[in-house]
Amino acid sequence: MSVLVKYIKGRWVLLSIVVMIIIVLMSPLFSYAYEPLDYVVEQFNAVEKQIYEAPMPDYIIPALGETAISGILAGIIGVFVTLFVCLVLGYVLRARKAEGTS
Amino acid sequence: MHIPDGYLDVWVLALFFALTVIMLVLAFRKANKIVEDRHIPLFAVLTAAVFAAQMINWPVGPGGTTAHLVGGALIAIFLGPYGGLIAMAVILLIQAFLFGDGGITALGANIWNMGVVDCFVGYYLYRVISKALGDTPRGKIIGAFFGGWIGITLAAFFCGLEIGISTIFPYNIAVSVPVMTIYHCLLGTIEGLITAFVVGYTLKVRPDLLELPKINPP
Repeated sequence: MSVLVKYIKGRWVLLSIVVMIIIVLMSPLFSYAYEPLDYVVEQFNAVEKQIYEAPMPDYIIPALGETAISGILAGIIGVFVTLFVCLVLGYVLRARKAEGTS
Repeated sequence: MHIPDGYLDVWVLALFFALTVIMLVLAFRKANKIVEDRHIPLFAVLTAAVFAAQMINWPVGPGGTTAHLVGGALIAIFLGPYGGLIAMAVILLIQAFLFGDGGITALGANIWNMGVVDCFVGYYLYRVISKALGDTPRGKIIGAFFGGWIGITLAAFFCGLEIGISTIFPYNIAVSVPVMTIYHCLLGTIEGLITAFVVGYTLKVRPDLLELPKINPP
C-alpha cells in the first residue's frame, strides 16, 4: 500500500481528487438520465434481462435507500475503487516493464 | 450508451467480445513496454475523473434526452489510444460489476464502443488536426474538441449498429443507427468542449503531462 501512496502525493493529484469529490457531490442535481439509447429502447419496447445483481445498483447503497447521500457515497466509493485499481494496475505494468528491460 | 444485458444477440456479443479481447491483449502488451512511474498518477487520476464525470448527465438533447461524458478521447489524448482503452475497460468493469451500469454480457460491446472506437478515433483525429494546425496550443485545443466530439459520435454509431443488427429490435438498424448517431452528434459537442477545455487548461498549467510517451500501436 505504501508503495502506491507515493503516486498520489503530488499537489495536482490531490487537487484532482478534491475536484472529483466535488463532481460527485453535484451528481444528485444531474442524476436524471434519459439517454438516446433509452429512447431507442422505448421505441421497440425492449426489456432488459438482468443476469447479475450488483452490490450498489444504479449508484445507490441499498441500506441507505434512494437518497442523495446514498448516491454521493456510492459515487465516492466508485472514485476510490477506480483510483486504487488503476494505481495497482499501473504499478504492475511498470514492474513488468522493469523486468523486461533488466 | 451503456448497453445492458438482453439487448444484443449472442453472435453480436461474441463478435465484439472477441474483438475487444484482441485489442486489450495488444494494449497490455504495449503498456508493458511503455508505462513508467510518471504515467501512473496520471492514469489513475484521469480514469477516476472520467468515472466521476460520467455521473453527471446534461439534459440538452433532442426529445428530452440526456448524455454524460464518455471521456475515452480525453484519456487517449494524454496516454495514447491503448492507454485510453485500458482506462475505459477499468471504468466499464467497475460500473458493470459494482453498480450494474451496463450489462455483463455486453461488456465486450461496451468496451469496444467507448474504449476502442472513442479512444482511437478521438486520439488520431486530435493528432491529425493539431499537426495540420502546426502543433500549436490552439491547434491542440481545436484537435481535442473534434477528437472528443467525433469520438463519442462514432462510438454511438457502433452502439446503434450493435443493437440494430440484433433481432430483439425488430425495426433494426434504420432507426437505431440514425437516432444514436444524430442525437450523440448534437450532445457530443459538449464532450468536445470539455475535452478541449481540459487540454487547454493542462497546456497552461502542466504542459509536460501532454508530452508523456504514448501507449500507441506500433
